[in-house]
Amino acid sequence: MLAKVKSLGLVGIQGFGLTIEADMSNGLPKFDIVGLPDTAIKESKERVRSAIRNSGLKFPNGRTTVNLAPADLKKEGPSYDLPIAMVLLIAQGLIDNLEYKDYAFLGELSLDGSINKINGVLPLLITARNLGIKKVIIPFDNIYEASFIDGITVYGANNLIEIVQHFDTSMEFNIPEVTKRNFEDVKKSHTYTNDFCYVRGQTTAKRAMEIAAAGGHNMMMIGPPGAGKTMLARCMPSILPDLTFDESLEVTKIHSVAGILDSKDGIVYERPFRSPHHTVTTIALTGGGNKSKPGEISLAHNGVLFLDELPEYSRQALETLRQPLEDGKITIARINSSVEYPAEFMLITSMNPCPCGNYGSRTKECKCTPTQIHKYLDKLSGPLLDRIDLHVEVDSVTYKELTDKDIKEESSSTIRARVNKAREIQRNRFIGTNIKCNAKMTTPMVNKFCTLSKECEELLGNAFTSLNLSARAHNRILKVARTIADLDDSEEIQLSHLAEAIGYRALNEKYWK
Amino acid sequence: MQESNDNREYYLTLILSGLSLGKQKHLVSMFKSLADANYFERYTSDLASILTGDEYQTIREIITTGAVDRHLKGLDKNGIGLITIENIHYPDYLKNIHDPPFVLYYRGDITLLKTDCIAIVGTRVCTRYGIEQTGRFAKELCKAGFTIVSGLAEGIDTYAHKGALEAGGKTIAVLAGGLNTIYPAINVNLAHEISEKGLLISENVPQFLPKGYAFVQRNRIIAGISLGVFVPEMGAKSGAMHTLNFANEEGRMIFVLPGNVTSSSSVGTNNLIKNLQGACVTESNDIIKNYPEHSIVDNQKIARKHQQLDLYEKLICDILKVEELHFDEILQKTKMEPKKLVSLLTTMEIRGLIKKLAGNYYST
Repeated sequence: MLAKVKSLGLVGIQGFGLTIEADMSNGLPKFDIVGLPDTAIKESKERVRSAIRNSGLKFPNGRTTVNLAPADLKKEGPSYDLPIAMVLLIAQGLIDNLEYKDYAFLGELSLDGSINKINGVLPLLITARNLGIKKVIIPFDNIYEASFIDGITVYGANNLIEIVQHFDTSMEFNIPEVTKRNFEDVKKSHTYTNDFCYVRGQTTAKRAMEIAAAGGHNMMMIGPPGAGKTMLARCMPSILPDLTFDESLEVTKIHSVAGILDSKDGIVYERPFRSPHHTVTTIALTGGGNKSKPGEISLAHNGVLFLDELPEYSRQALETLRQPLEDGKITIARINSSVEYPAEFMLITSMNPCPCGNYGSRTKECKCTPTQIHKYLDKLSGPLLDRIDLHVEVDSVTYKELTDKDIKEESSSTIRARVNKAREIQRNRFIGTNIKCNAKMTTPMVNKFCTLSKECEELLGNAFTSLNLSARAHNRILKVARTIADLDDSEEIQLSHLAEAIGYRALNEKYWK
Repeated sequence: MQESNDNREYYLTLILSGLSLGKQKHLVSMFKSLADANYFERYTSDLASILTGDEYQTIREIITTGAVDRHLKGLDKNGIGLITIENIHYPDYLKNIHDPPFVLYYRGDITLLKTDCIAIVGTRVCTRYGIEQTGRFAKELCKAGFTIVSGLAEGIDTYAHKGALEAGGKTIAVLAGGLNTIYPAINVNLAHEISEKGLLISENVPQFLPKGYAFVQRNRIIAGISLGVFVPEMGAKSGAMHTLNFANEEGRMIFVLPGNVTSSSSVGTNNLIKNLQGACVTESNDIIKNYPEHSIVDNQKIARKHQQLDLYEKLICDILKVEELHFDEILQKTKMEPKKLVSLLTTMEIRGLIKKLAGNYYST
């Protein structure tokens, strides 16, 4: 007897619909799965057999073939266990309720018949909804992830028996529907652990971070060890504008596929903060591997990618950042598939000014020779530095600053309010384009939106000659000046805005001579 | 382009023979010229008392095979000039030291050798203070008409050359290696610039790779062509000590910049100040006043700039005049908003009133 059920598969973060067919005929007992399955699916034979038997149900005798259609797409992962089990039960006539045709099934089976958690439920459900599937049965452990999707009914099943009973019209039992939750409600109940009110001193760096957050600028902090660069960077998400629901879904999709989604939350409502260690490989950073998994830059999508001790990263790994920093996405081409992941992240980096870390410090002595410093800084390429708009120097705070009770530091929420306001201005400015913030402006846009008064032109001209700026610093300074003006709620870029922007100029001129 | 009557064939014969300096000197004191084959043959018996059989054969070979001519052609091809101790451009100061080099290979303006030179030498591991002061002294000494001599090494040497070039002044780099083997490699570009705007010299053949002793030998030339030696920073054990010893032996003046007593880069210079009376200098005029024919540099320009300043600018200039300060310290003293202060400091920097230093420090 022949049977078909619906399921869903993933390539990257894009889902696709698929039909699982089973055919049984008389003959020697044999069980085959065809349709480009990977190892995890081939192994599912054993899991399905045991799960069905241990649930007290009948596994087909005779010759059985299961086909995963379309047969030309490579299928990966254990999430087809449940639909394969279902199609076998249906083929044997153990489920006679034709309602199953409205359903899609997703889930990994355990040998005892219980259903285990799978990765990528969110993008799969979105695909299901787009394909017009009305009802989906997913593992119970994944229900929080499913609770934010409208327009589709989702059931969270604990085991195979529950599903059989669900379709049995003679029984009263139904698996309860997943209750929907509201994104805004969940978000409000959340607080940030790192807050700027705990960071003492560091006024320049804080101000620069506010500008970076407001305009989406990439940023670099240079300073001796122990100056607080990492702490500052960790506070960054707390002043970034709140994630919108759509942005949050994008992030959740990626995190869901990568399997790092917190199953209790079911959605990412805080901007991600990724800080890969400097031994990170190129593939781990960009994504790839034989399953084309998302890399750190995609996991940091809509959030912050923090690279601590920048020159310690391998040159090759750093150079791969250049294209995603421009395009906001990365395409990973592998033999089996070519996958595109979004990668619109804000790059925050930190580094020491020299190998010993004390160059430029007044209190500690630098022991490095000029050649050592030169070699250290030479690990960073010009094109990469070009993409970093704000450069600030951070020095250690004094004991007095650390302990002075009178100094009241601004809290992140106050700063975030200003950032949100500046972003609002930018949203209105870039209406009708796919650009979200000042940092992503193209050259024609810079010419259009960053017009300078005569006075400002003169200042910039003087700056170029007296500070020895390079030509590529030009647009960078203008973009930052635009953001500072936005923070000031000013239509025009004023002299003070421009001067401040030059103040955060590339240290190229000083360190990279 | 060269004076040809400086007996170069003879000296080159000696240089190429690879004889020890002592033997070279001995030969020069006895014979006016040996480059000519006939002349050489005539004195065979006299030469035998000085040279070993092998050495004699080497020189003979050089003369008979025309090695000197080939060497000269090679120099021409490479654009390298040559003067000998008998050349009119050879400075008297250098001629009178204990063992002056017989020949100098050069690139650039050879007439600089006869200008008034001050050597600036010091540690390779210099601090920010050392870098700044070296630059400042080099510039001001250039303005007073001195040529800056140094050794093209890392650290103080590099900044001395750069300071002189930035001020549009003249500078001489004395190399330990040959002119075609610039060491350290990081300074190749600087060497190129110096050869265009100043002078590169070396007593060794162009392809000579510098060895330990060559650096010490080089220092005698630095001291030899200079009127005085200025040391901005020097550790306890530094190659600059050799230069100072030569300077001392040859009666050149020594000037030393006091440094932070906690800085290991200033241990040597501070020791010198303890031991040498009158060596301590704090501004370029302390050096210049020892040479009456050079006029004192006028450093009053900064004061004039201060006239058109608003309240805050004046305040910042005043507090920075006392000492260099971190951004946060200026913030505390002026009680300004951080964003306003960044903007103001940048404007002042552009106007040349203040300088931004590494680590977010500012100074006037």
